[in-house]
Amino acid sequence: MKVVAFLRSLASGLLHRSQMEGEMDEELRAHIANRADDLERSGLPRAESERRARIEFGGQERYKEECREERGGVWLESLWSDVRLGLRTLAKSRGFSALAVLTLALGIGANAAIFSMVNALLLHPYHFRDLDALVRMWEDRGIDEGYDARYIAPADARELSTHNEIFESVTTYEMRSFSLGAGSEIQPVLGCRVTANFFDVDIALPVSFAISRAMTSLIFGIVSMDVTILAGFTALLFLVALGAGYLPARRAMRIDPMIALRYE
Amino acid sequence: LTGQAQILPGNLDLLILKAASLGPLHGYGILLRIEQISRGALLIEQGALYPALFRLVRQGLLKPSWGTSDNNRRAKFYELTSSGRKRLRQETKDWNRLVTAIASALGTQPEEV
Repeated sequence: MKVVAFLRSLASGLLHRSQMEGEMDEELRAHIANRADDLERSGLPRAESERRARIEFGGQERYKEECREERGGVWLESLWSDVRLGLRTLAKSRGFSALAVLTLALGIGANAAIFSMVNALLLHPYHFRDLDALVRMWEDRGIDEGYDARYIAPADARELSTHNEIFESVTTYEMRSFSLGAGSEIQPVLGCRVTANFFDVDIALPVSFAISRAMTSLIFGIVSMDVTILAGFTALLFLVALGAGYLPARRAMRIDPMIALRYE
Repeated sequence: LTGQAQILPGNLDLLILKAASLGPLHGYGILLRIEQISRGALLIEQGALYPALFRLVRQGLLKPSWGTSDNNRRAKFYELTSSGRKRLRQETKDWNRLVTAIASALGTQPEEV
């Protein structure tokens, strides 16, 4: 009920502003006229009655302003005029506005790019179906022969796969470095050797694996190897920041303090 | 105008609710009604009535509607809503409690302490 009354007051204040203003005018004028009638009836001349009624009422404009505030919606109106003032100010100094927009765009872009990588690689690395049922097995040969030695050989995995009642399927993979190239152009490539039933376990596994690998190499490609891109971005951001700080400062310096004070 | 007491801002709302509870009234009518039921003992600045009326409308305690006054002028009448009636009851209770407490505090004699 209260909310409805508040919203109605707000809506009528915003939508029917001129009507509300007119009604408020009429309401206050009627009050003063009524008061003048009463004073006239008590024996005062009409002109004197009207004058006295107005004085008794007090500052009309002040009370009208207070009425507008009580009606609600004033904050919305002032917000709107603030927005308009902001847009006008921005339109007046185009260079500064463009610089500000560029700074924001670069900042937002860089943040979004880095976050989407972190999000994909660190926060949600894989999207497996039945993630709870997926386990990694190591072989325990009694003696520790190092990391690689605990991988299960493909033939053993096939054996396991046919003679166990725990796992639906068993597959193996092995990360390897390959050399890819023709003639003198040879590049190291990270690859993965898998057993033939790798795709049976879950189609999402190899796909997400491949994608995350590709993305990893993409990031490391930029961060560790491409110094020119890094330096270029740093220089661009530096220039934008310098411009955003220097240009307004130079303009501020040119203003005579006396003029600025008088303007305020 | 002597012998009139200046009222506190919050009390004006309560008086307006009381005046409107006795029947729908326009702004000037509310002023006259308050004067009448307080036997002229309260001084109310006439213009201050209207911000208070707008506030009470926004709070849903009064319902405004346009009509014609007895002297044939178009006037905005204010009527107490059901939540306004509830608020009036509550505030009257609070007010009476406050007045009783302050009166008993102010009426204390040295030998009673």
